[in-house]
Amino acid sequence: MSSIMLKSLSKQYTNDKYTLDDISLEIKDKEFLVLLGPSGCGKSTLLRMIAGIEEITQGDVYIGDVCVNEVEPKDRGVAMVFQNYALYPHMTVFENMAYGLKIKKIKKAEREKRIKAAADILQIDPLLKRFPSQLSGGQKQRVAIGRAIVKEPKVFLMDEPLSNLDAKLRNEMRIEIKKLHERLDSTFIYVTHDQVEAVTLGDRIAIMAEGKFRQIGTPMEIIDCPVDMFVANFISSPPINYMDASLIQRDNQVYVEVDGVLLETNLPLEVMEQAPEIVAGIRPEHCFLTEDSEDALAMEVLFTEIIGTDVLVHLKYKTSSFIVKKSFTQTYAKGQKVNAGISANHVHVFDRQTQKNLRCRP
Amino acid sequence: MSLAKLKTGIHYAMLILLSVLMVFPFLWMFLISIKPKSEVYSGSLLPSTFHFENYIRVFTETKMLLYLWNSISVSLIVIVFQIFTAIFAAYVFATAQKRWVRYCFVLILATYMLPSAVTYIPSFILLSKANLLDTHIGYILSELISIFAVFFLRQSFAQVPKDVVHAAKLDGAGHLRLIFTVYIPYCKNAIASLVLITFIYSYNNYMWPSLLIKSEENMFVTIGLRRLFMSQAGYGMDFPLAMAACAISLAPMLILLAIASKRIIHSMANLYVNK
Ligand SMILES: Nc1ncnc2c1ncn2[C@@H]1O[C@H](COP(=O)(O)OP(=O)(O)OP(=O)(O)O)[C@@H](O)[C@H]1O
Ligand SMILES: [Mg+2]
Repeated sequence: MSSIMLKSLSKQYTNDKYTLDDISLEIKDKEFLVLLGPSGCGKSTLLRMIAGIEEITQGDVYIGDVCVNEVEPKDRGVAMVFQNYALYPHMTVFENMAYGLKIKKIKKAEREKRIKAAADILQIDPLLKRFPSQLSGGQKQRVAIGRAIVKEPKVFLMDEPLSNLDAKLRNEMRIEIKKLHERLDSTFIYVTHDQVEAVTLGDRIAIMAEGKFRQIGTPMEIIDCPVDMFVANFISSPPINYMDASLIQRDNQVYVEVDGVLLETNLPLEVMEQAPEIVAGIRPEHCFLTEDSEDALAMEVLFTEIIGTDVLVHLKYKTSSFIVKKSFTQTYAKGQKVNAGISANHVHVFDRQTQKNLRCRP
Repeated sequence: MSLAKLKTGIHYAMLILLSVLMVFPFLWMFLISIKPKSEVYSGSLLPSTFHFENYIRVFTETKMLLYLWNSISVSLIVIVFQIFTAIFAAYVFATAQKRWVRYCFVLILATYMLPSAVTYIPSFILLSKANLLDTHIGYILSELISIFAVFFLRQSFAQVPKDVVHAAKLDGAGHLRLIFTVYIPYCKNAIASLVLITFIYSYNNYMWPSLLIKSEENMFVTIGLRRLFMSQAGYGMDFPLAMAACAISLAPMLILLAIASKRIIHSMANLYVNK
């Protein structure tokens, strides 16, 4: 059993500030949990506390049914990929991976078999005899992953393990990590900045900000119903478009009105009772460009950005910017006037005061 | 001539002058060591005839060989103990988070600030109570731990990246394994420097051994040389012989310099120049 439970966990580095502030979370056995959050929000700190190499200020960490607060790091059955790799500089790549296995008294043949297998997966076979100082950042990173996976631990802690790889290698390694998770029956906690990684790998995603969890849920739940404007912005790449809007009721339906354009929503009628001031959040992929000026907003093209087979059209609407994502079929000139439409039922409605999603909070 | 060239010219001139100043006494020593005894006070720098047999006389007429053996063997034993004890102490002081450990370190450093003469009398009394005066064991016991070595190693142990240590702990390493597979290999250059510095210090050590060691068969090179000067003072000193003995006493240091000059320069620079 390698479920993980965090109970009211807090961390203070200095007296005036909580780096982690009373967080609780239960991670199921064999679950793949992704931690997503802006720089400095405490992701690495959390991993290190689970690993046992950072002191706990308050609260408890359970691995399985055991409170591991007082358990030595080596006895927790975790392996960690450090954000800065932390390879042993005086050992070769092979020795780096063999170190932990030797201590665990794993036989030489078995050691070599595991290291060979890991090296194949990570494409570092030709590097085994080199020292870390002779490797590039991306190569070091793969060695760091290798050092963790040969240990076949109950719990994997990975701190941005793919951040230094090129796009192609990153896609390949992402798939390898997914496979690894399916093969190894371990629990994974995986820190990333990359929404694509978060959504494709995670059984659940925990979005953090300033030492707290903002939302924990499956990728679908978070994309479908981000609890507040921060989460909506963070999970959306390119960033979500926010517009001032108001709520209107017609025929027992609640509509969002943006400058005369009505957008259908599936909000319950009760929200009208509080008559909140709102901000509409619309994802770039839920917008389209149209000839039709009816039910669309007149905008001006600023520039376009081609991403693979898609294009991001950056637009100017009044004084703010607006992004539309569409498949790449034609080019747009700077200054060109276009009409942006919004697909029905794809608008997120946030309370302007509290920044909360009206749909998630009754 | 450009200003830059003039500047390097002046630098070189100063370096050459200083080098000559440093080397001259050694050169003089060497020249006296090959003179006949009668020419020591002759006033000319160069000998009229060369008497290299003075060097052979050092080994036949004095106990220089024994002194050399004593000095080198005892220094090597001292190095082993000092490095060994320093490694463990440095590990504790470099890694322990507890406040009282840090206070201990400051306290120990403070004793390093004391003039070493302050400890001579208590050490002497202790060794005499233990009946270890005039023995190598007594000297080695009094040099088991070097505060300098502890400090020096602590500083380099503190350079080992925290996460590398964390990774090793997660890999299952305990204290001993951490020391021997992470700290020592990571700091092997610093340790090599420390070995050299310790050897040079121990080989040159004069004051304390001269108080402790009295009998001839236990003498080190430093005290042995003094004895050579003193013993002949009565009936006209044999300066060429004494100078030849001095030159021979330099031999181990010169060999060391030949083998590891780069490392010695590097470690001395590290020691005295703030990086
Ligand atoms: N040893 C330390 N002493 C004091 N403050 C620290 C220490 N380590 C981290 N912090 C602070 O704690 C906060 C969280 O740091 P942490 O490394 O966990 O962030 P992170 O979420 O991993 O960020 P990133 O995405 O940039 O890696 C930061 O504000 C950081 O400055
Ligand atoms: Mg981090």
